[in-house]
Amino acid sequence: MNYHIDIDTQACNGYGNCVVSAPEVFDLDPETNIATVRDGHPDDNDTEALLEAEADCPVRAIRLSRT
Amino acid sequence: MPAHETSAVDSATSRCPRDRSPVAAIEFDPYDSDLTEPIVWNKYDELRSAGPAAHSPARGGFYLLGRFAEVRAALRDPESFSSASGHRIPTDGSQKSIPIDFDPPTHTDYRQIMTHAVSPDRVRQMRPFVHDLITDLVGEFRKTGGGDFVRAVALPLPLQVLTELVGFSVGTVSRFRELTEAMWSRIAHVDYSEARGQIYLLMQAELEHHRREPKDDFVTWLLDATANDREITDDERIRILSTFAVAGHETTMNASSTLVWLLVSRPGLQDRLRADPALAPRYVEEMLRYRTPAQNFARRTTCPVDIKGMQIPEGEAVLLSYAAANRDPERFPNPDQFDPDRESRGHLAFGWGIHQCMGAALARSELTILLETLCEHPPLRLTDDVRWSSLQGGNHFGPTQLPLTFDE
Repeated sequence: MNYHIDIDTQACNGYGNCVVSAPEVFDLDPETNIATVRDGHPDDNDTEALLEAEADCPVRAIRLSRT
Repeated sequence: MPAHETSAVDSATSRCPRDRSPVAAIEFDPYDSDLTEPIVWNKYDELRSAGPAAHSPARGGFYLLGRFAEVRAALRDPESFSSASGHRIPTDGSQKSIPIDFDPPTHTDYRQIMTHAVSPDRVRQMRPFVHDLITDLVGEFRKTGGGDFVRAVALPLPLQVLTELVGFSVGTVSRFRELTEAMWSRIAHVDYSEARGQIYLLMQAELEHHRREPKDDFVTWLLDATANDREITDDERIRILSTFAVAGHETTMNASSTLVWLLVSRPGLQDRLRADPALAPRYVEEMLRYRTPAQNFARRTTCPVDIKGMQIPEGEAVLLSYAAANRDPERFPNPDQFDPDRESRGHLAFGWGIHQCMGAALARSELTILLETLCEHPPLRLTDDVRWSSLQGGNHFGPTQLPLTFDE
């Protein structure tokens, strides 16, 4: 299943939990410490890891929508 | 197992008595002064070995979780594991620290206010200040030939960061260090209201001072802050500032001293870092896992919960041991080894989920800059024995004395 990933950059506080849950997909910008989606992250996402990243965000900054 | 506990467990599991597993009893009093280096780590081993959950008869009785998967699952489930009764044993509802002793939605509103002080932007802006401050503190420490690293560097560092980050006066921060020590010394008797009352008065004075003389700082900003469109009260402002005052310095002080103790107690580690200071963030992360400075936080169950077949009834205090979880061999192989090459990320040193430490990015930045700065000076070595605290407030652990000198 594929998901579109939205990051609310106003809400993100740089905890990095998403990077722990789904390191292939998320990264923290080294300059701003705000979560980013990696370039060319695999289309065939690891759904479980993605859902975990969404659930683990302390400030609910990650929104997934099915594509 | 104590009789009162057996009955509690029986009633909670009456629906499926055949699946019931007994919860192991463990002697664990977070305020016991014997819980220090190295015994405290053995205690955490004992806790994890006891099973997915354990029960201590101390302080009116409470459950404990010390395995990584179970602690993290509890942190991810704030509806079943409420914070509203307090984060310390006993969870009697008297603590009311903002935001840690609140559940959503109130917690969410408080947190939004407090994040203002430690947003990623703010942490980035703070970097030059932190860098200059550490350069000065370490430079001065070297000029005087070393001494007690805790008093000379690890304590003033977070206190001075708080003056810049929040807007406290220098007099206020030195006073609240004294008051924090007084508070921990009384907390074992669960009578810390006097010291807490004095911290309250100190924060009140800061508010009044900023009201008279507004500045460009967080305290001034807080005077007009709203929680979800509701104007907050001075009592709430004072509790918010008290959290910055206490949580903002104890943790970083212990983390800094612990990091430097690791370097001087294992010269190979220090040599390696000096040869490659880019390893600093890895050292920081692995220290947080390996010697978690803030070790135990409590919750209270809002419903019967099942911990791998063990039932904890509704309304019970549960102490979540981050320090024990971070040494769970199921999650971190060879957990008692300090290994900067391992994947330490995902540890629970800052907690996990909605109550996760707001100051984590600031702390990581301070600790990394500290290590990088130390690498610009000659190597450090111990000149006398290190002394360790017991668990302050049942939670905070670190060196109380770390006598060092530079090898030059």
